Amino acid sequence: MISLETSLRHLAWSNQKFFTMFIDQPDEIFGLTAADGEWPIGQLLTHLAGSGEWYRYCLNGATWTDLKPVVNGSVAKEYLAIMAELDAVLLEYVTGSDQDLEIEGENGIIHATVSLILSQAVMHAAEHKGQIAAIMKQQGHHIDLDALDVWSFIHQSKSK
Amino acid sequence: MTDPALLRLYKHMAWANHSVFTQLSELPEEALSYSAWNPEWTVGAVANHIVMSQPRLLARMKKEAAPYETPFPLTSEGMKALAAQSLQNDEAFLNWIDKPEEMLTFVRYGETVSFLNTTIVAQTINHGIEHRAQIADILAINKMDVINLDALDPISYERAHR
Repeated sequence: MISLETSLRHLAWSNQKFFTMFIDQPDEIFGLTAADGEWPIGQLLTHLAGSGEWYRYCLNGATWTDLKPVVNGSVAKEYLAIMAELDAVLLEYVTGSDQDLEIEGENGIIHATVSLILSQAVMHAAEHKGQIAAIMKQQGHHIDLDALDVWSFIHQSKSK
Repeated sequence: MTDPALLRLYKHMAWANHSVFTQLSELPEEALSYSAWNPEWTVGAVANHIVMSQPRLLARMKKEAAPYETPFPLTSEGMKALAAQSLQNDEAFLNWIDKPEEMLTFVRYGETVSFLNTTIVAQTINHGIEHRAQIADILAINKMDVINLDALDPISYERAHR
C-alpha cells in the first residue's frame, strides 16, 4: 500500500544531507534572514530539532532537551545525531495504528492523532528547508534542493 | 484502506495549495512578478510550476503520457483559475493514493526511469511544500510578508476542518 513511510524516510535522509551542507559554512551564514524581523537560518535549523522534540513528546511523552542554538558549523554537525534520533522516533510510528493522543500542553490537553503528528512533521521540515534555501539563494549562496528531493533520495538509496 | 497519515497530508496539501493560490489572486498583480535570486523565477512562475507539475505527476501514476502544459496568466483572474485547477488536480490525485505499491516506468528529463508509485506521491507532496515556502519568502523579500505559513500547516488544517 502507498503510505507515508517514503515521505518519513526521505525526511530523515534529507535532514542529514541538509545539516551536512552547513557544517563547513562560515559563521555569518547562520545569521542570514529573508527580511528584517524574520528568523535567521541558525534559528530555523535549531527550530527543526526543537519541533522534532515536540513531535517525540507528543508521540511517546519524552521530554525535550535544552538544545544548543545552531550558530556555527560545528554545532550544525552535532545536530546530525540529534536529527537522526528524532527522525527515527517518527519512523517507529509509521506502521502502527492511528491512535488518539492526549497531549499535555501549556494551556491544557491537546487532542491529536498519530497521523496528524506524522503529517505535520513531514510538512514542517520540508517547508523550513525550502525557506532556508530561499534565504541562501537570496544572499548569493547556493543550496540545490533538487539534490534533496524524493527522486534523489530513492536514487541514492538504490531501492527504486 | 488508505494510510491515514498520507490521506491527512494529501488533503492538507490540496487545501494549502488552494489557500496560497487564492491569496495570490488577492494581491496587487505586480506581486506576481516579484522575484528574488532569479528574475525569471517569479511568484507567478513558481505557482504555475506547482500546478503544472500536478497533471504530469498524476499521468505517471495513471501510466499515461504527460499532458501539454499551459501556464496561467500572471493576473488576479489567472491566479483564481490556477487555484481552481490546483484543487481539481489534487482531488483527482486523491483517487490514486489508495493503491498497492507498484513499480512504474516513465520518462523523466528524457530518460526512461522506474520508481514506485509511493515515490511519486511523496515527491508530489514534498515538491508543493518547498515551492509554497519559496513563494512566501520571495514575497517577504519584496517586503510583502503576507503569507503566514504557520496558518497553513496540517494542525491549522485540522482545526479548520473539525
